Amino acid sequence: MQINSDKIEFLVGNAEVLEKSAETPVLPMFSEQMKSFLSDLSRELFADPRSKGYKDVLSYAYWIRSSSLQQAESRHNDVDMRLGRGLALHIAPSNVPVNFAVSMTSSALAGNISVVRLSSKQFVQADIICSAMERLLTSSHTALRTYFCIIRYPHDPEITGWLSSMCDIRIIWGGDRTINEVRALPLPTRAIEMTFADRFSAAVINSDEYLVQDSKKVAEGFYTDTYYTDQNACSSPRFVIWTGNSVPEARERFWEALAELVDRDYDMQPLQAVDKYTAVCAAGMSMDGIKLISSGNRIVRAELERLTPDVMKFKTGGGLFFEYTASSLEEIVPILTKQCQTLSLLGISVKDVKELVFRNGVRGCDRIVPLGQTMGLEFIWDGFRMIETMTRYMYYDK
Amino acid sequence: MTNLELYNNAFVESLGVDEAELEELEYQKNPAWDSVGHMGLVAALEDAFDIMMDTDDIIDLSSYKKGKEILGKYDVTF
Repeated sequence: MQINSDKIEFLVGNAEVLEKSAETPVLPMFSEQMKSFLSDLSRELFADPRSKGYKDVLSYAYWIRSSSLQQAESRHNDVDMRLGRGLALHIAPSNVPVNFAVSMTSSALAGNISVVRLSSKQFVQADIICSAMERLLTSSHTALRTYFCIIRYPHDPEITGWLSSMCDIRIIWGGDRTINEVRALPLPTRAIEMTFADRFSAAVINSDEYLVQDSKKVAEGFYTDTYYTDQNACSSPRFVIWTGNSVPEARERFWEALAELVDRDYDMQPLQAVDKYTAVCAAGMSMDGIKLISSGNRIVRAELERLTPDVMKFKTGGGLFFEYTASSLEEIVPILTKQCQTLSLLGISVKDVKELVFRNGVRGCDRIVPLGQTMGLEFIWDGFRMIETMTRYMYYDK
Repeated sequence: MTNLELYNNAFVESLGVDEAELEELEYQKNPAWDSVGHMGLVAALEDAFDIMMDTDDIIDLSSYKKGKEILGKYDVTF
């Protein structure tokens, strides 16, 4: 099938790369060429003065630096049995600017040809990364030219259908609607699919432990977890759950320290204030036991009498938090549904939370990290070991 | 280049500071060396000496002087 590629804008690669991708040989997992390309991309991004203002671009550059890739590789003991599956089609999300690069890096290290469709929402971060890739692929890494296409096109099921019909892995990041729309387009019979749907996350804080910590540092970490991405990342806490014996004091200090940062650094749009207030009102009208407890509109906090995932229907970004005081960890079980992604902890034992998940056999909670580190880049996401899942495992008798 | 030149160069290039400031340079004391600058510095040092720094050493790297001590563990001498 031929497609009119005039509608497709290429940020990396070109129509020829795309059309010939079926014949491009796959690479071994963690191939030398790919590691060398990514570590050069890391250097290129660190050297680009435009990266300076973007912590997420620099975090990505740090994550793909040579020693970090070596470390990731050393965690696998069956690299010599794995190679790429073929063409990996990524439908990138519109909420987190560098997610496309994380997804692409996983499929590239797995040995695939990566085709990424960026969202129509334009991010400077994507332009910085794409132009650095293009510079390398047309100079020192021309051998990998046929392994990457980063494209943009207006909503068009015909193009997405064409790409889907030739891919071996389809990776969809997005809301339920996007996922369902893309899923309606058929895949080749042997192709696999990975979906990264909309999720919610929660922070769990032990109040006594919090009070002995540097409140400013904690606030900085929590700010990065939430406001840095307008609280739009799936890993950004929306619930804040308190435990321990000093809840009133800890809460006061926590939100005060955060307010200082938010007032100084956060550029809130008027619409966000309206959305947050509307969300609390809508939640309050449809459910019992929800109380608005904040006064300003930069940090909007609603207290829950009962911890329930139902309030997530009303979630919105830009600093809206649902708070709950729990007398035991057991009380968080109701929110550990399929939609629950990350639990970030402060003063709570990882082992206790892990055991809680296993003991109750809940369907949610894919990740437990310290508070302040929810934005960390990892090759394990939404319960998938990303690189392995994107490889083909070739069995042979050693 | 000598190890000292490589070391100084990593700071100057990644943080954009002057060579004259190096001796007194400390993490979080200079606006260029914040948590974001730290990532660039670690990447530059690893590249300059072809080493892989442990997480503990990355956290301990809190001043220009301390950095020299840490690199000693990786057989980099000054």
